[in-house]
Amino acid sequence: MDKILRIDVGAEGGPKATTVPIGEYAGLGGRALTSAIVSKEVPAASHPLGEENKLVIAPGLLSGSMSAMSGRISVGAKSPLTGGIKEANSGGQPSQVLARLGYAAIVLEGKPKGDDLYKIFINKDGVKISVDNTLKMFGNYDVVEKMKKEFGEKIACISIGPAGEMKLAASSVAFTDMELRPTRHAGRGGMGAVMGSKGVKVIVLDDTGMSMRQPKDADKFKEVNKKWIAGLQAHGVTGQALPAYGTNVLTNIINEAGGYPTYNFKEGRFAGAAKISGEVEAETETKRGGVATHGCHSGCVIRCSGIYNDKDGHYLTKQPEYETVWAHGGNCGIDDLDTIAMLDFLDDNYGLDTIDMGAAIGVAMEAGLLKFGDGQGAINLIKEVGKGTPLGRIIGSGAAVTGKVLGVERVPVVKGQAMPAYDPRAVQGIGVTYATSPMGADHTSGYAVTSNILGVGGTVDPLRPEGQVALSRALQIATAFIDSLGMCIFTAFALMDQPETNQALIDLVNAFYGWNWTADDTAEFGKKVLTMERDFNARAGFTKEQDRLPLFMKNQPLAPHNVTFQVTDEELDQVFNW
Amino acid sequence: MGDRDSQEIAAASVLNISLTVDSSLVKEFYVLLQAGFTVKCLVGVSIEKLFYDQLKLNPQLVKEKISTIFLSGKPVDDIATATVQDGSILALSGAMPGLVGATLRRKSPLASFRQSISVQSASKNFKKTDGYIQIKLFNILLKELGLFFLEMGIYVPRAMFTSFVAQLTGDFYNRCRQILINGKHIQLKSSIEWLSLLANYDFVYLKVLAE
Repeated sequence: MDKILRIDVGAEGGPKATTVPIGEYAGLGGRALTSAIVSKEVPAASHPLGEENKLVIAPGLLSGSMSAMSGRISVGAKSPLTGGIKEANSGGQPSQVLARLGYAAIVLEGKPKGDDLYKIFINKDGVKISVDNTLKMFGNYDVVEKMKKEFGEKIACISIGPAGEMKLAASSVAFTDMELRPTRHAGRGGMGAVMGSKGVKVIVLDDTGMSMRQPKDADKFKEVNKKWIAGLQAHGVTGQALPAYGTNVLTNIINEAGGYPTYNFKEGRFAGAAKISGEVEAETETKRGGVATHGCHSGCVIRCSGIYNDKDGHYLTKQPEYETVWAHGGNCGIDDLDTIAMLDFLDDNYGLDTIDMGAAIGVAMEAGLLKFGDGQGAINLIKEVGKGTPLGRIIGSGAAVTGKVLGVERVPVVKGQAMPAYDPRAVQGIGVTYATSPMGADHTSGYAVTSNILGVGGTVDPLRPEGQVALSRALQIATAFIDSLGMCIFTAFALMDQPETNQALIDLVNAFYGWNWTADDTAEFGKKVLTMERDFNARAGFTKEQDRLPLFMKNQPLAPHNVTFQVTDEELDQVFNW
Repeated sequence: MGDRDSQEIAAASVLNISLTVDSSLVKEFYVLLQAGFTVKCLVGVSIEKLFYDQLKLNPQLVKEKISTIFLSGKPVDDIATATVQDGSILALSGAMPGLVGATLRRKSPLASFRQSISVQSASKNFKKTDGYIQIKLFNILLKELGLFFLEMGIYVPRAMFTSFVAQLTGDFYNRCRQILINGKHIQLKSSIEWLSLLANYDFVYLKVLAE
């Protein structure tokens, strides 16, 4: 991974690919690399869909190696949804394949001269770019089927659906999974629209003839990787709960805690939660011949995904994750798993962020466009997006735009991006991250558990009120590091509870690169990433006023605990005071 | 399911149902266990005393598996001070993923994130008396504790039990070896046959033995 593939889509005579050395970006991967390139090379005042913006796709520092759980890939650009810097990441196969092909990143830059649609094929022999207008307005599933016929089944695909082509602000970039289905998405922030603005429909990767990336210290790496895997498998979350029930195992307990946003964030508990819980979902999948324990990329040992079949036993979609089940479920008052699974399929096929879609439909329900609980109405609305009708384009632009158009006061967004499945009035600490993350409301921005909590590199008293700010800061720093490795953030739980597993991760990086990093070094790395991102946002016009939750969080108590968000603006402003 | 206190259940008419089933059928009852069932116990005591003195749970299981506890919707950190009262709802879960999942765990280093909804230190002056509490079992604890509670006996409202039997298939009855209703052997082959049996009762007291 010592080179970057730059494709100027606006070059004379059509898109031109140039491979350049990684140069000044050496030592960066995943989110660190996407944010470094965007921060340095994209003018902060540029239009997200214009010539000056760049779409950066980067595997993590450990992707393509033998290390378990290292198959995440980052997509970065200036976001058409938030107006700030964005890194959205995804599972699937392309991260491992792109890394084995030796690329630290693909950068799409410039603006196409016409309205042709391009496909890009990359293998060990180089890069081929061709016009393929037959793909216009294809859903992601059809795109991949066509690529399989053309390039065979030993490929991995990165594609956009009709939503990306229409440059809708909530459109995603899809990545194929181990079954070569486009089920994994860099969903947040409208990265699909940026790819659409570059005229690129699909990037096909084939690593035939390439081998695993080799570590600097092979013996040490092998030894540490065993400890790493053992630590993940020994932990109650990564070894039991996630494999058995997937991320939707959270539905029952977030609902029990009264922090499950229901009816567009009006209430904190959903009466139909037990019908759409992870426990029921896993049982349904198993009974219908699907799979309840399945990895989203090769090298995954947690295997929190699955395959969801319809009532007749035919494939419908991958196992809808907690965020999706909530967004299209409780948030919209829908308690039918089959309806939610259909919505998940449609989102994946059209190339849409499931969180922003669920939030936008919830807002539309609040506006009276359809009733809460109207599953078929929700399906019809997503189909409107796929067809590109005026209403569909509004919904596909996300909850913030939908709220403005439909005149709704309670719109659950920060920096224009919809809040995920945890109400910050009940779990106030996550509200600190929602408010202050450079990415907009994002549950994964402050996710990993840091050395700080383990008592390395400083201490935090979690029981002091100000501990929420300090913890959010520490979590955001640690997550920026994890996101740069290509590591799945679900590894965080083993890192939190098992210091030896935390050390194994650092040792893994050191053995691969020949570094001598300590926990403090990883924290410094995370700070560097966040500083670049905050700097870009500041240049783009963001001030502390954007680091706020919507007002209704402060003045509308959430049942059943009847709590409002209590963290003050002054406290929020301290998050990035290192 | 709302709160069930001693007055409500004491005044209710209860149908006693005892089932002996093939062990493969135990998971069919998980839907009842996660939605919530009621048990009779001594209340006005700590969760810790309920676990160890009354339910006789294995301390290792409590320490290593029951990682997340809610008392009437509030996350619990200290089971020695959180007190169950008549009508309390006790939800038990394993360690959960996600930042918020980690936040909700007992004694989580992230506990401050949800301090506004946590169980606060309770007074120790609650009167100890017989009462009823509702229990919900989630995720890995369905397998760990589900059969334990089914063998012990659980109270379930008629409406919930009616919904439960409505979704059972013929395969269930093929693998159900014995049905005792108020102590009498009954042969049932379909869910519809339950309706007349349940009609005059408010609650079911259900015991399940697995072979």
